[in-house]
Amino acid sequence: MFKWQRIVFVIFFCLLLIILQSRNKELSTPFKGLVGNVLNPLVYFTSNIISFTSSIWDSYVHLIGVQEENEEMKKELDRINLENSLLRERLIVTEHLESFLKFNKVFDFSTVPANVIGIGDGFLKSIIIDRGSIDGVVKNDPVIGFNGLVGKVTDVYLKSSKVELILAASSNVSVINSKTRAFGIVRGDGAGGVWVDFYDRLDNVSIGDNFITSGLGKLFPKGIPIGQVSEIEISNKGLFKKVTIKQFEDFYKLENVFIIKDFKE
Amino acid sequence: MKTFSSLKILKNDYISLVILLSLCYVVSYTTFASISRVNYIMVLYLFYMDKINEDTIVQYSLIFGLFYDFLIDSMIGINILFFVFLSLIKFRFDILISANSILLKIVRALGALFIFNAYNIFAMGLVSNDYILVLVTFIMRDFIIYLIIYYIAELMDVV
Repeated sequence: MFKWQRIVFVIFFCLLLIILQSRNKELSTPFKGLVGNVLNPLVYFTSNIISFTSSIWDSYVHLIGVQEENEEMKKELDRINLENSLLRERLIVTEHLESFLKFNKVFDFSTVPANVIGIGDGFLKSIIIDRGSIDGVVKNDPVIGFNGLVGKVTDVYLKSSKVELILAASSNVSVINSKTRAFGIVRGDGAGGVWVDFYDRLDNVSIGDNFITSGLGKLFPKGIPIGQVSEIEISNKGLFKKVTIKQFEDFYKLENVFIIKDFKE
Repeated sequence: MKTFSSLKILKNDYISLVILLSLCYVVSYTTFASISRVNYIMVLYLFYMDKINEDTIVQYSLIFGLFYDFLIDSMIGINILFFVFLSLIKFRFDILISANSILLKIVRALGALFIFNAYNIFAMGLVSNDYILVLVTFIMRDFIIYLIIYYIAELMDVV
């Protein structure tokens, strides 16, 4: 005879647990925190060992062509320095105009640098970073890379955090076309790309247009670059057109990110 | 002597499963990120399928379900229920057809995979409006990979 009592008990217990969690979403946090605090240090140490090993490999094997590369880098640095000084001048002028027009300051926030210690691609679309609650990271903190928006913190552990990337199918980011100023919602397509949902079909969007965060959701600051339009799809029905974006950030090569703190909503 | 007692602990099916799952988690986030493209929890479940009986169903469902809940950041309990029902369906199949031959075992594994993919398509469909993409992703990626892994494993058993 099959032992139904235990199974029925487990099913009822799970159902009770699900009902309680639907009323209080924070109920599962202690369990996930416990498992995360056990597993993520292992991810951290493994990541460090791999980085150490690969750095030895890089140091000895990739020495060929370093001098040539160094010369090219110096030229590139000179060019960037010149460009930087020009941009600083423009920034001063822009800030002056902004204060004159009483605009909200863009990029008025502080950042906490973090190292990426784990990248989970596949259907997960998340990364693990080496900053946690001890460093002041809280849930829903926006995370950016050098080239644009990365995602938001979804789970915070003691010394690490899990970041949901904008590539995840469940992510929603309010964005704006920097040229036409039309709004939309960026979602991950679940296959490593992103697209804009709810985009006005009458808007004159063209390939190459840049999308930036709109700041409307109050979750991400305004003006963070997302990507460039790579494909526009217009169907015969519906109010919206589908805009596919090629994101600026290379999520498969993420090494360092910045957690945004204290931004002006 | 202590080393031998530690090895005995590792021989425990539940502990070895937890260690395997943790190892897959760590490896998928570091060395072999491509592992996370394969749903290793489901692959391990297929390998442990024969060990699941009326005495062990609750323990295995709890381990697989809780780990899967943690991994996909869902509410705790949903995937425990899923693995309990999946194991119950497996029992029903074993009663109806004595799954001793390789072919029947593959049919049984395919059945489990079909249910798992249907569940995933439903769950993913709730958060994405592109059903076709979800369908193609799961069938083309997961389904074929599981089939190949399981087929190789069964052939290895025969050899």
